[in-house]
Amino acid sequence: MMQNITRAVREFYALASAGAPAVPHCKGCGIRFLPPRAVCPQCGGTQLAWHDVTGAAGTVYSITRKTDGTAVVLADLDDIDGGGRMLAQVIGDDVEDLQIGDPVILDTVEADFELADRVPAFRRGAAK
Amino acid sequence: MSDIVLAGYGLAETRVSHQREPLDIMTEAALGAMRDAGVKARDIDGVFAATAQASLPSLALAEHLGITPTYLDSTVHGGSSNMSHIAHAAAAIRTGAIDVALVVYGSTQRTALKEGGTRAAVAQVPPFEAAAGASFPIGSYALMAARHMHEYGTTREQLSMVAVAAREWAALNPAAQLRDRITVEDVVASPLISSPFHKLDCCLITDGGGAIVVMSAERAAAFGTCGVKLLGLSEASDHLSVSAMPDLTRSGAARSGPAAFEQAGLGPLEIDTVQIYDAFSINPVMVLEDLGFCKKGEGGAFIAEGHTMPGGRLPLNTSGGGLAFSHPGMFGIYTVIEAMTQLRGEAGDRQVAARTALAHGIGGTMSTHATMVLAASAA
Repeated sequence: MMQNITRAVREFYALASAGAPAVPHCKGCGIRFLPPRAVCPQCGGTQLAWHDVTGAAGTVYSITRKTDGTAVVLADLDDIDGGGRMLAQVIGDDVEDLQIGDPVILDTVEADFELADRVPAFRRGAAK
Repeated sequence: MSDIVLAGYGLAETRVSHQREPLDIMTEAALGAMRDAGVKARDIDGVFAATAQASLPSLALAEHLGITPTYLDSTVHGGSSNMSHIAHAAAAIRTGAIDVALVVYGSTQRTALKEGGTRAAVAQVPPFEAAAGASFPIGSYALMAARHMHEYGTTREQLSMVAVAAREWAALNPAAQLRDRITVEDVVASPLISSPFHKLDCCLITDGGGAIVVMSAERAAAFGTCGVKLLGLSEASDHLSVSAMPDLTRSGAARSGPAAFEQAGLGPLEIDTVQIYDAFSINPVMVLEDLGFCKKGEGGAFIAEGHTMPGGRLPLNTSGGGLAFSHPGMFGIYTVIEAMTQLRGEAGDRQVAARTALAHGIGGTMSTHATMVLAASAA
């Protein structure tokens, strides 16, 4: 069984699983950040809400490809202003030449994962 | 404040998997360290143990060794855990809480992998990495390497040189597991695991155990041993998940290193040999930079120029490191043991001229950092 699961982690994946990925938002100082935590990394506040990032724009910060060619990226999301990045795989048939600095759009994808049926994933492309 | 010395070490045989139990391999290392330091079970009052494969490890080991300690510590936070133990032991010795500490690591991860298909130390993939389908922990380090290449122009060939240098040292170490010399072409010809890493960028998976006895310099003198002097030891961590790592090209070594140097009253130019936990080829590149042995972004070139090779001006990972010597998991204690071996002049064909040494442990995914500055005994 997976360890280090918190209420914040459960909620994060429940929202993604419902097709509406979200990131923590501090009601105190207003920043949005990743990964989900109990305490705001900027002001120390514990009053946190979820900010919907469905279809949010991001930029590839780093990328690795597995033996099967799957690209996994760390991406900066435009909506994040309080630190942290989204770690996710990139879906679509146009990811072969994806590289650092390229724009991506946040989506979700079906996954074999203990906490959710769908998890955050990126597609290539710039925000409309 | 008492001077602290590392009075002895022990290594459990690691070249082949033995089907031994984790506590047995820890015991072998512990008994070796106790013999080396000239201490008996009754002399030890602090037991510090890390492993992913025992329940209540410090307590279980104490009973097995016939020690009835007043201080137990089973702190585990990955590959630098035993270096944290040494920090805790030094503090406890200085306050008078204990006299003699035994610090132990052991694992049978190679045997466990062959038997059950899992490795205890990394069997738990954290939720964010698992959801992304990332290889763990390789994928997280691969992301760091890719970003370092992007920002600083670090090349694939420079990463390969880390593995080449490890084999050059291992060729001089009869205890090393991979002693055949390799070329930069061999590294990229090995199977791709998670780009930019190929198999030869990645550490071994072995069984093994290591142990160190810690005490005050006065106590060591009373036992008739001088030991290796602990001049500085500092730690830093800033994330667990790679998604929380602020800058993938900069590690906690940039904080633990300067703090350890300040305690020691030494700087990088005064260090004769460096041992860095090389779980992956990017580690020595990034950590050499963050410790100040070269400028930021120049770690790859520094290694590719041969400075860390046998005969170079900064001998690095002289045992062959996790890439070529042995890697039973939490390798931090092995960086300390190799530094001790060099400072004691017992390194055989791989011996370098060293009065000072730096050992650097890493835990998690470049998450915990412990920097230790050591010096040979004046005696």
